[in-house]
Amino acid sequence: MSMTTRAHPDPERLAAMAGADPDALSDRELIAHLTDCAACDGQVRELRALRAALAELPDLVPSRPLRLLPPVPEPREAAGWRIAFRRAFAPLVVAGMVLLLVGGVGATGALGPADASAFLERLQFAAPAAPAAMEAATGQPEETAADAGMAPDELASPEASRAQIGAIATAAPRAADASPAPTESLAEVTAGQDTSRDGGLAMVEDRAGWFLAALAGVGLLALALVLRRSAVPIDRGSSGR
Amino acid sequence: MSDPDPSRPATRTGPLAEEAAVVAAAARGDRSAFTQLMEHYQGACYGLAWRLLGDPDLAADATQDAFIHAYDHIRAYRGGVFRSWLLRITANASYDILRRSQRRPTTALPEPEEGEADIADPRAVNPVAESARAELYRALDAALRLLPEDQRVAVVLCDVYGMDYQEVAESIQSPIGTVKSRIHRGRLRLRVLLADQRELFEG
Repeated sequence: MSMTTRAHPDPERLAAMAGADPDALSDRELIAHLTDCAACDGQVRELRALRAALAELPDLVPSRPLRLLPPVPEPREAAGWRIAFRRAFAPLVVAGMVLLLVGGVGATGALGPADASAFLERLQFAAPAAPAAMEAATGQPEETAADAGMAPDELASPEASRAQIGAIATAAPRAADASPAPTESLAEVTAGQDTSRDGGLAMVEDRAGWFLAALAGVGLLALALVLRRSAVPIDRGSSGR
Repeated sequence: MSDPDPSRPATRTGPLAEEAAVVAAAARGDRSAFTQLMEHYQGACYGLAWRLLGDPDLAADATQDAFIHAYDHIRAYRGGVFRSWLLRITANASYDILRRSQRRPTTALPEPEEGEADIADPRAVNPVAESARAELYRALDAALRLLPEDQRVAVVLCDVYGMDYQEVAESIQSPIGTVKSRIHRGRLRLRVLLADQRELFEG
């Protein structure tokens, strides 16, 4: 069988030959085919001419002026300040948010008693004053379980325990206020509490710590924003972008 | 279409006079030497970027990125043809943008829009706009735009900018076998696309 009647090579082999691919150049069968097949040889010549034309494509002018140099690096000292500002930014924001949150929640009373130290004080006075409070609440001297004739089972029952705990819990704060004068009635104690403070003003005074915390949080956030603005790099671009 | 600017390059930029000395000065931190180099080769870099990306703004971005990378790494330049070194950096920057632009895989570039063609058409930047050469360049660039992206990138890097298979493979992070196949298929497709203008490049 002659070369010309043989099947034509894969066109990609011809393209490889046109590009002087070492594999194609060493392919004897391909070279022999090109020697005998004018069609394939013509295709290779055409592809070579195409490659030569592609290699001549000219350079192009940029569509806009290009910045040929990167920006000049900032002086070391200035860069140091900026780095320090950037590093301080995140901790300041976090601290500010925490203070704002805690202060805000505390000031609106969601954390319970306005003044944490007063709350602790009340807790300490509540236990010894409980018998007096029971007496003040019921108008009767405190009875022991035995005095009340309660059986040990009754004493241990959940209902009895809850009733007892409830009475102590409601009376304890009052008892703390009433302890200087245990003979005062419950009405007098609560009335004294109301009159000793002037509504909202008293509340603000009580919660001043929380308000200050929230205010400090706002201050820290503002400071963080100022630092952030001052740490934004200055654009020294001279063209284009 | 804007009038051609006689100062615009019509052909490939050759090496700069005393290029080795200028490159050495740039590597020592001489900013004016670096500027001189970039000024000289910006047409070559932009041309490559435009042919890979097909968009004037993206091409300018890629060229800009390439210059910044070259400035940062010029101390690592170890001789050889400076133009080739710079073109490899530009090819990498362009290919990065190409990947980010989500236009893959294998889509042909859209036809140039009104106005964009003024920039993209080589006749617009070629002082011999009416010559047969300019017509050939226009036809070649138009045909390149019609190639699928993977073939266009491979053909541009290999046949237009003379990179070998290995360099192309490194630029587009593909196996050499894949690169060869893309180049060969791209050449065959270009031949078909230019069938009507064969006399332009065979003459």
